[in-house]
Amino acid sequence: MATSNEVVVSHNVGLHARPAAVFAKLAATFSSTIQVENLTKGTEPVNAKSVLRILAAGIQMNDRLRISADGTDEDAAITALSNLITTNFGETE
Amino acid sequence: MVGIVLISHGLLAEGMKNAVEMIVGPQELFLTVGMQPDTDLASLRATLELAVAEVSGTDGALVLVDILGGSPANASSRLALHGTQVICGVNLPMLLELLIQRENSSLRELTAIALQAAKEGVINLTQQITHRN
Repeated sequence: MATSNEVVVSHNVGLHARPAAVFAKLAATFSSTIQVENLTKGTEPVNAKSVLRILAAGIQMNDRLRISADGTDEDAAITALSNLITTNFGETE
Repeated sequence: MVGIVLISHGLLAEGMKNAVEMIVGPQELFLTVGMQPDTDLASLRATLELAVAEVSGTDGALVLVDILGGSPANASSRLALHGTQVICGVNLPMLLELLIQRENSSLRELTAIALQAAKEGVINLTQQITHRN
């Protein structure tokens, strides 16, 4: 019973080190397995809880991502992580 | 949360802490020990063991050393003999991954994460960029 959502990255430098760290740290608070796939770059889905795997996915501005989760808190995980991306990590630029 | 102590020659440990906190912000239960040229092994060991005691809560602690074979590693050996997880060859990818994952991982899991992250973090950027184009 997995679920997923697609979002577009609007952060002007993409998921570079600091946003990637914030994203992974949030993902790690959920018990579900969570993956993120860079649909624009066509990379394999990676473990969203690993900051290094996220960095290796080379996520840049305007990339479309698919966030998938599987577990008891999968809906909460998808919502929280999607919101993080769509609100630009709470940054104004 | 697992505590972390970074120990190195000179200012490397302090520098790595400074660098990683630029990315993830200030961290709790995270201390550094730097060996100066005139530090003797016994006092280095004492400083290290005090730091480990300070960061070890109920979840234990991980000691990260710059390189196997140097005095910082030798100073860690007694802890290692008594079961503390001591990892040599720390790099920024390892440290970053540990700080991100330690709130939700056991000491055993973090030890495995540390070893994997350190290796995975070494990437030929030139190859990656030119291959992509």
